[in-house]
Amino acid sequence: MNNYWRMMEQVTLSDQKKEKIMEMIENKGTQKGRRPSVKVMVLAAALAVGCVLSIAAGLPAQVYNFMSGGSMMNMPGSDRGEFVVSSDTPVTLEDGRIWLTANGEKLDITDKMDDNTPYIVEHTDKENGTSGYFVAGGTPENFGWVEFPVIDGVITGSSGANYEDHWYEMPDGTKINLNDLPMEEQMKLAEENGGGLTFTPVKHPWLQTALDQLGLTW
Amino acid sequence: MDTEQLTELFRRYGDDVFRLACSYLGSRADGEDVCQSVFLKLAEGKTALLPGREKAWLLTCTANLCKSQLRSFWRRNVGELDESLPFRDGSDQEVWDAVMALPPKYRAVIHLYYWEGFDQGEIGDILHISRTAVQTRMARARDMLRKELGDGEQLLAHDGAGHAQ
Repeated sequence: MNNYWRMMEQVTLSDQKKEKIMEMIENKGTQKGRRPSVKVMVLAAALAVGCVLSIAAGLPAQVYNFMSGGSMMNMPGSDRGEFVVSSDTPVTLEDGRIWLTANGEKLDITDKMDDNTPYIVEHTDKENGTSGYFVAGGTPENFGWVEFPVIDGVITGSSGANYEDHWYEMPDGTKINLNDLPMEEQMKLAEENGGGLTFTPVKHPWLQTALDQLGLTW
Repeated sequence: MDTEQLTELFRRYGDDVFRLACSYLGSRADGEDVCQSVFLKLAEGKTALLPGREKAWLLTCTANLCKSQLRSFWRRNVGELDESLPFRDGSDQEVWDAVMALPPKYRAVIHLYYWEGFDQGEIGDILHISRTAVQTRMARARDMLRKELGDGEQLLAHDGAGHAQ
């Protein structure tokens, strides 16, 4: 053991500061009307254009079966939950048209939405009566979707893909959208940055319009 | 990042984040502020971490925030008013004072080597500098400490013990 080590061992956060930071951590997940947190347990799941899942904190146990397939169950008093992810993608591109496949039906929704106009479907889980919304938007060049249950006016979780951009600021100040980078480049960037990436999520305009129309905050 | 994961990260690495910030900025109050900011970033849920690289990211983020603080107008133009750190004996205080007399960028290298036990390549990754720059800063820091501590320079004698994971 060196003497620098012995000296530094005595440099610790005060109990008061520790308590303050712990309090901040615990409150963060439940403040602002139980705002769902972005799940970032695995980089690939968080940043990929593929399915992104999130769940809100501090709710009673609740199961929701998505119209788009799969289900979620939040754990009581936690922002952890369990997702059953459907292997089917509900929104697909075929011959230049955007198709929604749900409830055994296939619908061409290309002309019903654009970059600023959402296509919204209200969905009620038949098993427990919980309501939610499926929202899609964009054009054949760039489209996305997201579905979320709403309980007492609060979005309690979500499942979706390409509904927000992830802006990352490079050390030189330039900003890049991580969604535009292949997964290998995202991983490389994270490696170069000490093992993680801090980004600013910005919802696509069609999703923001949908939230405004539905009177929801997220 | 959910609350449970975040709490666990803070329990495991909170003091290490604080120590790096404290040694970089030379101030307990600033070290606490940076530590809080690092975990606030995570609590806001806007950070993706590679599994197994949590500590490296936390220290990288800490170093980045410390650099920003050192560049800020407020810090450069306001005098320091800080409570001192209590040490068990005089030799610990002597080492602290000698290290604090170094420029901040040298202190960071010294800390990551002597406390965390990182090698030069790892230190370079965390501070975004080349391995050569790490070597240069380490050599200059040791020279300065030798002058400051005289025969006591061996107070920094490194036997390979470290905390890097």
